[in-house]
Amino acid sequence: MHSAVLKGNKNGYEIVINDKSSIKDILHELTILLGELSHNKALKSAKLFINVNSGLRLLSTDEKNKIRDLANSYENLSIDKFISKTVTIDKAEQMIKDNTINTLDKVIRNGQDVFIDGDVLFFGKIHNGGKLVASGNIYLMGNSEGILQAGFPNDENKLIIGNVSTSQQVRVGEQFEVIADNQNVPELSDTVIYVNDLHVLSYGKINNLKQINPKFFNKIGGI
Amino acid sequence: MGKAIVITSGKGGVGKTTSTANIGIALALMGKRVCLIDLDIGLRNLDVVLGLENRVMYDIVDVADKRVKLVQALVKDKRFDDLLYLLPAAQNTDKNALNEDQVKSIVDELKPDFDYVFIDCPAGIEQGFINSISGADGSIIVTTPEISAVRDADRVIGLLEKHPLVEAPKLIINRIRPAIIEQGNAMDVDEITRHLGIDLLGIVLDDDEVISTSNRGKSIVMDAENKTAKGYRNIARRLEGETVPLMKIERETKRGFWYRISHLFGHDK
Repeated sequence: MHSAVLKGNKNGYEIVINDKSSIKDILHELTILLGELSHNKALKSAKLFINVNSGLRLLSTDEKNKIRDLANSYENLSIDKFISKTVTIDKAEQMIKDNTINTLDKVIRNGQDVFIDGDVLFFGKIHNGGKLVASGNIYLMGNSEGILQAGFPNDENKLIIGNVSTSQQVRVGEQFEVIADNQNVPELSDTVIYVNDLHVLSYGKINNLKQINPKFFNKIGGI
Repeated sequence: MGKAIVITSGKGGVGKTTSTANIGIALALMGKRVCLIDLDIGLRNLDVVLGLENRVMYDIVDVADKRVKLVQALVKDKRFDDLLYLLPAAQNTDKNALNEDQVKSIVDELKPDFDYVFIDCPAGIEQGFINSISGADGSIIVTTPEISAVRDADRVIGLLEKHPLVEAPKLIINRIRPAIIEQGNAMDVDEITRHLGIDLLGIVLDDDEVISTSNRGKSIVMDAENKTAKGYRNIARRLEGETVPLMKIERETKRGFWYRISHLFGHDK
C-alpha cells in the first residue's frame, strides 16, 4: 500500500494520503510523486492545483507547510486545500454552536449584560439599561426596553427579528441606531433589522427575508 | 434566632434610613426585639432620625476593630422597653473601613439576641453595599415613583440576583403622592411592581410630617392616625407574616364650602 496516491475526480486532482503511514514515509513518497508529476509532459503546460486528502488523519500546520513547500518547489504545482474526514473537538463544538439556537427566558436588568455565543431566541424581558448581545442572530419574542446587539463584534450579516420599537438601541455588527431618533421604527413583531448594502441599518419584514438576506433564507429552508 | 434584613435602594435620598427607623419602631411597638445597624459610615443619619444622636458612645468600626465589645456599642432607645437598639456607624472614617467578613460576624453575633436585625445600607453599589448585603438573610428594596429611583432599584435587584440572599428581595414604594399619580405624571404602584418583577412588601404615602417628625428626632410611625405611619405599620405586620390588604391610595379631596361651614359648627359627626 502506498502512502500517497494521486487520484483524479470531478473536483480535479487529489492526493490521497494513507492515514496509517508515518509522516516520514508520506513526505518521502510525496517527493517522488510530485517530482514525477511536475516532469510529466502532458501536464507541463498549465499550473496544476492539487487537493490533499488526509483521510482520518489531521495534519498539523507544520506538516501542512512542509507539504505546501514541497509542491511550491515545482513551478507548475500548487496545493489548493487540505481536506480530511475528521475535525478537532474545538472545531466541532464551534460548528454545533454556529447551528444552535439558544433559548433564553430571563429578566435582563439595568446594568446587566448577557452575552450569547450564537443565535438566541429570547422570551424574557430586557429592562432599561440592560443589554442582550449575541454573536449570531437575535429572535425577540419577549419585551425589550434595553439594548439589542446581533452579530457581535462585527458581523453585519446577522439579523434582529422582532418588535424593537420600545428598545433604547439596536446594533448589528458595528452599525447602531438610537430608536428614539427614528420615528419610523415599526411596532410589529415581524420586523427584521438588518444592515443593507450601503452599510446602514434598515427595517424590513419577515416576508421579504429572501431579498434581505438570501443566504440566511436558504439556510433556514426557504426556496 | 432572628432574621437580618438589609434595606437598600441604589439611589440616595429615597428614604432608606427613614424606612429603617420606622419599620424598626413599628416592630418594636409590636413587641419584637429589633436592632438597627447603620452602615452609612462617614455619613451616619440613623442615630439622628431616631433621636439617639447624643447617646452614641462607640460605633461599628470600634466593634469591628475589637476596641470595644458589641454590647458596649449598642445604643438603647429608652422609649421602648429594652426592645429597640441601634448600632451606630462611625463618622470619622469611610465605607472602606469595614469589610464583608467583619460585618457578617457582627450581624451573626446580633441575630441570636434579636428578632430582627435591620441593616441600613448606604447609597451606591460600592464597598458599603457589598458590606451591607454580606450578613443579610433578606432584602428590602426602597424606591419612589421617580423613574431614576426605579432604574437604580432595577440595577440593585440585578446585583442581588448575582449574589442571592436566602430570601428573595421585597419592594417598598416610598413617597407616593396620589395627586401626581392620578394625573398620570408618575408611574403607579402596579406599573413599578410589574416592571421590577419582585414582591411588593408595602407602599408608603408622602407626608410633610415625615420630615418634621424626623427633624425632632421622633418618628412618624408613632402617630397611629397618620396614613404614612399606617404604611409602615402594615409593612411591619407583613414582615411578621400577617396578610394585610394594600392601602388604598386616594387623594384627600378638598372639602366643599358647606362642609367647612358645618364643620365649623361641629356638625360633621
